[in-house]
Amino acid sequence: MSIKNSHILILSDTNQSNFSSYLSKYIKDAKVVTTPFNQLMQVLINPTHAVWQQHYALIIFWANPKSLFPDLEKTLIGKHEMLHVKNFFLRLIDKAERVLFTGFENYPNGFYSQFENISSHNRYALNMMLTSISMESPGVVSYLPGYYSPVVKGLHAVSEDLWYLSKTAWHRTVTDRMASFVADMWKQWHGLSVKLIITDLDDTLWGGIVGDDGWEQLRLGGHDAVGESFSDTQQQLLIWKKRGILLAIASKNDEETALQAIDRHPEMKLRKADFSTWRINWEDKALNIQSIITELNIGAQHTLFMDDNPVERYRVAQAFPDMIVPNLPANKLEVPAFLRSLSCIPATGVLTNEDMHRAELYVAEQQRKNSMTAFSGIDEWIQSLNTVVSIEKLSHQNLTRAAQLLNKTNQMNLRTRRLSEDALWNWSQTPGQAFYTAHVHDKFGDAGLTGLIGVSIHDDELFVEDFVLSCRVMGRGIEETLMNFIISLMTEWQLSNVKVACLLTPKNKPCRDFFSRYLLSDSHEWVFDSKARFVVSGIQCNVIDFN
Amino acid sequence: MITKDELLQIIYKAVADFNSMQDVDEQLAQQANQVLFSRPGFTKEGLLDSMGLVNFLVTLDDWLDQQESAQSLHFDISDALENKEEALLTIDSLANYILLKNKKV
Repeated sequence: MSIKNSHILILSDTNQSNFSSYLSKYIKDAKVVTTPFNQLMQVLINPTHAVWQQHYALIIFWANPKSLFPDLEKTLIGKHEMLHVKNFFLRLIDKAERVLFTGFENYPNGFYSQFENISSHNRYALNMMLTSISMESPGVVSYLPGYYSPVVKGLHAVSEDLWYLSKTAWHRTVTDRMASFVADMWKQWHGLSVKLIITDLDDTLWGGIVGDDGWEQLRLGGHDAVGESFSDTQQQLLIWKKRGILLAIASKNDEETALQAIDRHPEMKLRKADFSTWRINWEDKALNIQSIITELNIGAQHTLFMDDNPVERYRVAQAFPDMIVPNLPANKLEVPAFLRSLSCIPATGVLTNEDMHRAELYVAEQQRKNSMTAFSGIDEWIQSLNTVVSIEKLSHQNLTRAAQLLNKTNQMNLRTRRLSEDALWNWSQTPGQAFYTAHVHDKFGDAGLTGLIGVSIHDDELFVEDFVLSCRVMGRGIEETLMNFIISLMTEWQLSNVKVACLLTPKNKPCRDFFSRYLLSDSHEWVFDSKARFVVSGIQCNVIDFN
Repeated sequence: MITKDELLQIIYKAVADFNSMQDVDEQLAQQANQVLFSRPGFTKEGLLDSMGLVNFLVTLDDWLDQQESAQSLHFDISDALENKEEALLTIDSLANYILLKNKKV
C-alpha cells in the first residue's frame, strides 16, 4: 500500500475531531476519518457500513470498552465473553494494514458519570487479551498498555467544559501528544524514523570539558548524581545501538584527547567500536555532520543530533531543517528520561537480523570503500570483493526482512510498491507471479538480504514489478547480476521479453539512471530480449530456488 | 478588578497557546480586532468553527485560572457560546463580555 493517499480510521465512542485534526497535521500523507459520535457500535456491527468500503493503512481503537459491552462494569468477565470480545477485535485486523489499540485504563477519578470505571479484574483481563492479540499478529497489531501514563503525565488531561460542550473526552494537550505519538509510530512503520544519532561529547556524553579537565576528571558514573545521569545517557545510546541505530560523534575537540577519554575512562559505557564514524576537530559542526551523513549514506530526516549547547543545536537545525534536533534539558539529571521519552526512535516492532547488525554492516561498508582507493577502476574493485549473490524465492523465513526492505527502500526502487507482509506473501503465491530475494556476501562481510525482485507474467512478457536494492550494496555490480537473473527467468519460462517500467518518484532517480545508462535512453520503460546481457564480472550468483 | 488591557494580555497568551496547536493557516492574530466567529451577514470572516471556538475558550479558561490577576474572574464558556454573537465576534468583544459579566456578578 502506498503511504500517500492512505486512510486512517479512528474508532471511538467520543468526539475525536481534535485528535483527527492533530493526526492530519502530523501525518500529511494520510486522510483521517472518524466514526460519527455515538455510532461506534453501529459501525462495528454493520459490515456494509460506508466506513468499511475503504481498506485502511491504520485503524486506531480509542474507546471505553463499556460502550461496546455494557456488562463489563457489573460482572467478572468469563472465558466465553472474553472470546466474544477478542473475535470482535480480531475482525478489525482484516480491515487494515495495522491496528492500534490504546489499551484499557480507568478514566480519571470522578470523570464522566456515564463512563464509570470497569472493574480491575475486567480491565486486567481485557489488557491481557490485547497483549495476546498483538503477540499473535506482530507488526500488524500494536497495543499501548497504560497509555495514560506516558501521554497524559504532567498534563491537565480532561476538561469538563470540553466534554459537556462537545463530547470531547480529552484535553487538547492530550490529543495533541497522542497524535504526535501515533505519528512517530507511523514514521517507524514506514521506515521514516531515526537511523543515526550524532552526538557531541563534552557535557553531552560526559560532564566536563575533556580538553581542559583531562579524562580522569570527567564526571561519569560513580557516586555522583550528575556522573550517574551521564552514565545513563550513554546506556540509552547503547540500547539504541543494539536496536540497529548507528552512532556517530561530532565534537569540537582534539581528536586524540577525546578518543583517549573514550578508550580509557573506566566508566565509559560507549567505546570507540560503538561509533560508526566520528568527526572530532574544530571545524563547523554542520560541515562535519554533512560529512558524516554523506559517509554513512543516511538522510538528514533520519538523523538525530544531540548537543548540550543550544547555539550548536540552532546552527545544525538551521543547516538541516529535516534533522531531529531535540532541545536537551539544561538539567543533566533530566536528560536520560528525556531521551527515553523520544518516540521518534523505534521502541517496538519486529527487528530483523539486519537491523540488529546494521552498525557492523556499515563498518564493513567503510572497509570496502577504503579498499576502493587501491584499485585503478571500479571493475577491478568489484572483482576484488569476491561477491556472492544468493537468490531464492520468498519464504516465510525471509518474509519479514523482505517486506521491510520493500517498504523502506526509496532510491533503487523501480516502482516503490509498498506491501504488508501478508499482502506481499499473498501476491507472491498468486499464479503467474513470483518474488525473489537476494542475499549479498563479500570478503568484508555479510550485507544480508539486500535485494528484491518481483515479476509477473503478462502474455508473452515478463513484467518487472519490483526491482529493489538496498543502498548498502548499490553500485557494486549487484544491479547487473539481478537483471541477468531476470533475463534467465524469462528464458527458463520461455517468454519472449522482459519489460521494465520505472514509476518515477522524487527519490528513485538512481534506479532510472541505472537502466538509462544501459540503454542510453531517457525513457521510463525498457524492453529486453533473451540476448540482453548486463556486463558484470567477478560476481558469483547462486540461484538457490528458481521455481 | 482587572483592567481591560490586562485581560487582553491574558487573552493574547491564550491565543499564543492555542496557535501552538493550530495549523499555520488557522492561527489567530494577537489583536483586539481579530474576528473569532462569523455572524451570518457579517462581512468579516471568523477563523474558528464551533469546535475551534470551544477549544479556544477552554484554552482561555485554563489561562484565566492560572493568572493571579484573573483568578477571581468568573468565565462561563457555555454562556459565552450561547451569546456568541455578542461575546465572540472579536477578541475585543470577548474581553468586553467577560468584564461586563463580572461587573454584574
